Amino acid sequence: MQKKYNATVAKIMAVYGKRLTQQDYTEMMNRQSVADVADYLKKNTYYSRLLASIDTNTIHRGMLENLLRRSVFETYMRITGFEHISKQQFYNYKIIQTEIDEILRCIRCINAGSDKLIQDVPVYINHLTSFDLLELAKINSFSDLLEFIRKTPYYVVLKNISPNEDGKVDVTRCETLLRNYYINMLKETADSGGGDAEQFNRFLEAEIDLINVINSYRLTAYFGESEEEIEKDMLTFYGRITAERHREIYSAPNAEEFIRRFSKTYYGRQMIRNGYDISNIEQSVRRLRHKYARSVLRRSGSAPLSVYAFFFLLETEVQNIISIIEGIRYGVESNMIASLVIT
Amino acid sequence: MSIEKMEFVNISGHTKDLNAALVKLSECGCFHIESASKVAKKKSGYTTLKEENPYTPLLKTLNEISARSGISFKSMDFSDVENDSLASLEKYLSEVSDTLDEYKTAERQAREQLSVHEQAMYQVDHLQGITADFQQIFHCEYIKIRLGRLPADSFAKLPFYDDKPFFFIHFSQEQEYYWGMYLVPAAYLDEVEEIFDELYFERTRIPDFVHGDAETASSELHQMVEEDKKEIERCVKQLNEFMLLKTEKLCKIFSRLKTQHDNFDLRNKAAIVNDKFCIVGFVPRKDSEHFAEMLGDIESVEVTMQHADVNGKLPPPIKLKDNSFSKPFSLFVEMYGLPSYNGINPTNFVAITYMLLFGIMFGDFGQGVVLAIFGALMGKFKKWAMGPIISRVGISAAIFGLLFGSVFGYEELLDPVYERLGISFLPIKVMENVAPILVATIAFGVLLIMISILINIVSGIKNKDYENALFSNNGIAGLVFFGSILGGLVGTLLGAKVFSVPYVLLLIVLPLVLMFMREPLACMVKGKKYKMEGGVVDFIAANFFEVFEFLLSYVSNSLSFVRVGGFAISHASMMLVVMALAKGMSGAASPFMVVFGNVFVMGIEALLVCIQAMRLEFYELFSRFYSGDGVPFTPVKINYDETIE
Repeated sequence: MQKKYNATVAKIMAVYGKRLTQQDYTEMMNRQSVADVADYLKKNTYYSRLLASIDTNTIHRGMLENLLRRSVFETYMRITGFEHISKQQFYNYKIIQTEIDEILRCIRCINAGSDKLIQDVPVYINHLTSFDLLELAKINSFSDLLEFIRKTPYYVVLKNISPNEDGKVDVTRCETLLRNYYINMLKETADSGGGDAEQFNRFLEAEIDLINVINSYRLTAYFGESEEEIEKDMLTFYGRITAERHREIYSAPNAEEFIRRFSKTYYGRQMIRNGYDISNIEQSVRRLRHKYARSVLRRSGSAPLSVYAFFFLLETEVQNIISIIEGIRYGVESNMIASLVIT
Repeated sequence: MSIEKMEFVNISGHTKDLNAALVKLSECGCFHIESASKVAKKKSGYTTLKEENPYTPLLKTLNEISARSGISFKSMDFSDVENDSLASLEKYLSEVSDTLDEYKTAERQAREQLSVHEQAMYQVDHLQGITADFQQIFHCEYIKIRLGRLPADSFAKLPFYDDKPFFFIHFSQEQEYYWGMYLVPAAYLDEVEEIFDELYFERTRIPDFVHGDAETASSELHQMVEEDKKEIERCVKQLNEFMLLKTEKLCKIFSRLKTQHDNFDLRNKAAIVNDKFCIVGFVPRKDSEHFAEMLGDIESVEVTMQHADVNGKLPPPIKLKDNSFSKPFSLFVEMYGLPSYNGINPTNFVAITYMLLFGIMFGDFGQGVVLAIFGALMGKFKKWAMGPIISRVGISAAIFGLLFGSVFGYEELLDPVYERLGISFLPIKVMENVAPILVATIAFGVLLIMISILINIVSGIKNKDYENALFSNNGIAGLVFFGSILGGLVGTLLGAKVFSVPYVLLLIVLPLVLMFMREPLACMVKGKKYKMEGGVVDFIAANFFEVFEFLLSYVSNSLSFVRVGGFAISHASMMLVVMALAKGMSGAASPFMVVFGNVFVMGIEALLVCIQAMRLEFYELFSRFYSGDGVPFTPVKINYDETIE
């Protein structure tokens, strides 16, 4: 019988209990500088251990952000090490996610002719990845990249991609292929997670639906892509919104019509019911995803779902802090910052 | 033990004597003041004084002095400064405050200096290995050097920049950082600085006062730090010496100002009509004569005493009369709320029942004695309010321990004693008499409930609350109903035929009907007309459910006492486990197990039993006869502990 990893679920709930509250966010938003925010985090929240050896007066914003991202990974190591669940294939998903993110960053740097990839390479994860992230940072052409990842599963995913005449690569296409690979991996390995795989898949499908909606919205609203182009960049998994329904939505001639059509879907109705501003669809989608994750974490005792939802929430928390830090750094008004914080 | 009888006091006099009267009132320690505006008639044209307290600013200054010097002021005889003018006191406090400022500024500067030197020392200590003079390093023409620390994550990325014209040399490593320096040709400085910025390199700027190589500089800085510390010590010593000289006078000034401040605040309670003032309040009857004499010293002041509840607007405050045995238990009574003036003080009842309940649940002679000693010591030396309670319930637990024959979990230790004394029914072995103990504790609970109902009846009649005393579920009707049901059940169990038709009709059905009709019946007894609100159907529905709830509460409240037996059994069971564990251990470990087990059981059981007994008191008993809506008696006095912010 598959082990259930109930202790891990309990551990997650205990860690989740220490999360930042609305009051913490308000306190941080009222601070005047990045140093003040770092100081607040150090003295009043569970990030104090992470920031113990840091001089908050001199800390660089970028370093603070990197530290926060690293804290998510350290928590991941702690949670998956608790009952040694990292031995199960499913629970390596964050490593795979990081590898995909780094490959995509590499492709963007190749396209931009930039050598800045090294700056934010998460070296703390390097000992767990299937390729050397520092070596990846040195790559400056797509053919070198393919050669570099030849022995990894990502080669098969990307081998048919060829650069344009100017040497640039279609990043969106690469992203779609890699994300499809990632989702497929999640679905196939969910059984090994020791919980209700079906329940996990239902949650994942909602996630995919919302990701597809937001991707197609961006392509419609900001790039004016054609239906055919958008279809190519859709994740090939569907939940409550079928492929046909998606097509019907993204065939909208403009952003307003897109939102109007989307508002009639299950998720659109949910957003309206929850009082979200559906015209700000990106933020509303983030809020809805956050709400779903919070809900499943509270209700589900299933380990894969709990782990997945918990880390989604933790990443949102880190993103909230980063939004506040950036807002303060660039003098954004506090009500504007508050609108970016998801709780 | 009952409730202290009070007198309602009306003090009047010329306004010129108001302050003198207030001083006397705060000195006497037995006057509970009320706002005169609550009783004064509007027609009389009275006013109240709404003045700014002139002593507040000076007290604030004193408070600031106290906060900055770390000295807390105590009350003292202030006759030396009694006649000093406020202006002279203000001047004195201002001088003290200024001098204090000077010392504090000197201390702060010394601390800042120390911080700068420590910071430099911290940086230089991490750069040990640099043998060149810092000043020479920074003045190189073709090679530029930057000292500082690099995050560990960034350090791992340095190999990426192998082709760039710089070296990074690290001297030491902390958790998150590598301390060191990078050397770069002057021509490439901008490019390399940009790289290090992206790697979050934190540059250290060595202050100008640092000379020589790292070792020399470190040694010099250590010396500077030591000197700074001595300077701080000197400043602190100077400040303490200064404050030592001033403390006595400051305490006197504080006492005088606080007394005048608090007395002045009382002026707001007075009502003023023309040039006369009026103050009202309560005085314990036993102190009333002395109180009147004391105020009689002031020429224009007149004191009128009346019965405490003469004024319906002001409920008399409650002061519980103490006796040394039950006094500690007043803590529980006050926690629930004080009784009303004409109510019944339940402290004795609580003391006896709480001790009995605790004793039964925690019955162990040895542990009871330990608990009693512990409570007595904590009460005496730590002034812990629960100490005397623990001490008393410990004695009760010890007595029940003797009855149960249990000493530190040894259940057979007292058997020979009882055998020798020829007492055959003792000890009552808890684990061998589970069912009788559970039944006995329910019976005990029923008895306590009936006593509570009786108290309620007496209290209701005393307060002329006939609905409550005669017809409620906690009144005579409820008592008859509850008693008859229980009597009938016991009789039936003993084989007698109790539930005859007249018995059922008179002692069960009739009380139920009375409870159902309690509101109209109460009106009838008072001679008032009952007005039915909401119609007959509403009346029937509401009273049906209320009576149904009464019936349920009789059952649930009685059964609630089964926990008393339950805890007695659980205590014995836990000790049984401790003894079994001790038995299974080796010879040397066994006594440790016995001691540890006893301490563990004592700790956990004492806490649980305390809570359970309190729950039974508050929920099952108090709710039947006690409302706890009394106002506490708080005599006027100068509060020297209060801080004026």
